[in-house]
Amino acid sequence: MKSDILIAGVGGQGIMLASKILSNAALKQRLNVKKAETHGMAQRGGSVVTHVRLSDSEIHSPLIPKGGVDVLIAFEPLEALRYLDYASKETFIVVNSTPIEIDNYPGMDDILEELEERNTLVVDALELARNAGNALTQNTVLLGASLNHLPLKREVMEETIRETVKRAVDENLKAFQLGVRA
Amino acid sequence: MYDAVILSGNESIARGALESGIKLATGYPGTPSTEILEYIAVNTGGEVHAEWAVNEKVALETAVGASYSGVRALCCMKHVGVNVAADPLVTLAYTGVRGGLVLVAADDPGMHSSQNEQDSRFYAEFAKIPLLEPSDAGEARDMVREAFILSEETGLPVMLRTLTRISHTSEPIELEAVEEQKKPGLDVNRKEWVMVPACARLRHKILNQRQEKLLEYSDKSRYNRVVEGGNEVGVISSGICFSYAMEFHKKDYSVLKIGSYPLPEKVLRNFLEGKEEILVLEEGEPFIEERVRCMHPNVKGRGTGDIPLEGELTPDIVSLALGGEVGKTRGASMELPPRHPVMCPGCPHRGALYALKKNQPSIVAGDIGCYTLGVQKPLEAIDTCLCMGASIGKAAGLNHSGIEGVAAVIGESTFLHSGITSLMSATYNQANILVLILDNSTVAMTGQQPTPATGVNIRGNRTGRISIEEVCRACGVDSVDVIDPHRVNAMRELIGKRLRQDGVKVIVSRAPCVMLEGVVRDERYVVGDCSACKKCLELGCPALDFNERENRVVISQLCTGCGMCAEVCPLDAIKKRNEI
Repeated sequence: MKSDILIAGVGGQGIMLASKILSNAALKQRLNVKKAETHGMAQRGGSVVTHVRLSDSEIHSPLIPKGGVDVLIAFEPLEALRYLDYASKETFIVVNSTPIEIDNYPGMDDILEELEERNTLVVDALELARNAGNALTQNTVLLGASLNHLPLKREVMEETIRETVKRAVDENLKAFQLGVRA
Repeated sequence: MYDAVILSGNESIARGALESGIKLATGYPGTPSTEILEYIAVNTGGEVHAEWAVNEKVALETAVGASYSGVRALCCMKHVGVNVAADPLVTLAYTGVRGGLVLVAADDPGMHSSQNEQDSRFYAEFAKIPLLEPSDAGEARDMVREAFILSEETGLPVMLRTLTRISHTSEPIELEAVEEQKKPGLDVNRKEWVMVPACARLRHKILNQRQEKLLEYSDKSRYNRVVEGGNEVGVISSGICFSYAMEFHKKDYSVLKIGSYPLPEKVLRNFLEGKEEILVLEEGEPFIEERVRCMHPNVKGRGTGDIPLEGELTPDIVSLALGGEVGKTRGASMELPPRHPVMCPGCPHRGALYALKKNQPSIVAGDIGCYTLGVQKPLEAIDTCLCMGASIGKAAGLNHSGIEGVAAVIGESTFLHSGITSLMSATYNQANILVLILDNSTVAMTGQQPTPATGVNIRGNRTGRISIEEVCRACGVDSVDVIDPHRVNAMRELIGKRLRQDGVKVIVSRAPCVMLEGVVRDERYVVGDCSACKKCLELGCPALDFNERENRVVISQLCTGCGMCAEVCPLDAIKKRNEI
């Protein structure tokens, strides 16, 4: 068993926390884990990507080879397109429909059309996070929405969220649950 | 492994140092090395002295002092920091060490957060000291432990070369027991430690005599090992590239993993024997490749163009070089606008750079820090960026060449790191320049580390606060102003007055980094009657956007309430939400 997960988005969206939850949950399930992150300059509103590889056998490269991603979790629609070459036809894509605009941002219809040719679940994570009581819980919404395609158990994920998240624990758990149902 | 915790490469390095019983850990923040010291500061009960030095040279010298007393010391920096520390490093190889001294150099191939992609292995070779290079986080921890032993056995400082992809990759690590610290004790030997020529000549000889031992160690090291496979093609790999070589390994080629330098001659000769083709996979320069080329007729790598000479390697590049297929996948069909890092909404630097730019300095000599991002549109307020502390020297040189209206921009941490000496040089040599010191009371780019001007240290202790303006006056600057950059218009006026006055003028632009706790005010701004003059957009704040349809500026939820846009609005149309 192996599960290669790519999380893409914009610096400041809580990508590091999401990848930390994934890898801590995997450790609880006694899986091997490698997690490669972007720190430093890219965090200042730049494009950010994290590779998380889970497996019950040895993992070599921390970076996932292009085309090898099993689950692409995109915190932002344009950033989903930016890393599309890491996906294959089989890749399950979860994408947040809320854009973070920049100059020359492509039309949202065009972005979604391209993504929907693939195995894509579009989630309004902002709306669900607000329903959970905190707009900053979009990251846990998206983890919930990916759950069915991850080798991680729901209760283990919930336990890990409780242990890993420092603020708004109840809101994060609710956000995760809303994500699972999305 | 199930009592394991997930640690990054940097945390593993820190853990390895703690387990080795270090007494002192020092360094200067710099991506990708910063988290090593932060982990040590948080995970020691005070038995380890952890500190941020003001720069890498001071850090290494501090570690040398600890080592001379017989205790173990760790010193951490990013690759370009080794340039700053190179002076003590090279002669330290002559004096040698007592307690183990490990220097961590964190290279940044691909320049994720750096100004160059220099390869630290050349420094270890240049200084004639051993170097260990881990290929994953777990090995990083083990190697640090070994490095301390090696340092004490050889009497030399040992360099540990990490890479962005090692430092920032996490995996489960099983913690081991912490060794007891060595007791400090003085055994002064001036012939060893006072590098006047008569002693240095002797010590140079001793350093050269030690080289054979280093080679022997490398030849026996468990970190230089072979993974067997086909005998036609041999892959030599180091660092993270070993993991890429193993990712595609189906026993079709043999892999030699290099983790211990100087390069092990016997191990290499044995491996090369009978191979038809050698492919070298390494981050940085073709360091191994060039040395192996004298030993084998068919060596491919970065030096031959079979692998790109610049940038970071990836599994995809390695797969291609191994004759494999890069995943035949399709990227997006449309062209995507790049998303560059920007100064944060509410960043105080924005007001300072805007005020400077509006005064049309002939050139702005920049420095290293978040404010370097001010090079981008629409501010375009930084014209040069070279290395830490270079702004003031460059500005002085420009002025002495006959250019008037020259400004330098430098953050307060960078100023303390290596700007003070250039300020002294500028006043002493009578330059006519304006120096803007952006004091946000933190090293912001690397994640808000405190500085001597913050008044608190890495251990959270209150300290005296070094006054930037007093330092400037002591350096001979007569004209020192302090202003809050949120007062954009007043600052613009002040810069206008000072820019073309004679002498060295310092303006300290002081307001805390918006990422520091408690700085963001919960007072968002909104736009009232907008005339669409777009003056506020010249600030380049990510929270401001122009709505073409409504022909007006809108402020998004990213607003932190800094109010700079309200300052520059000529119609006073931007107000706090509760004032409308």
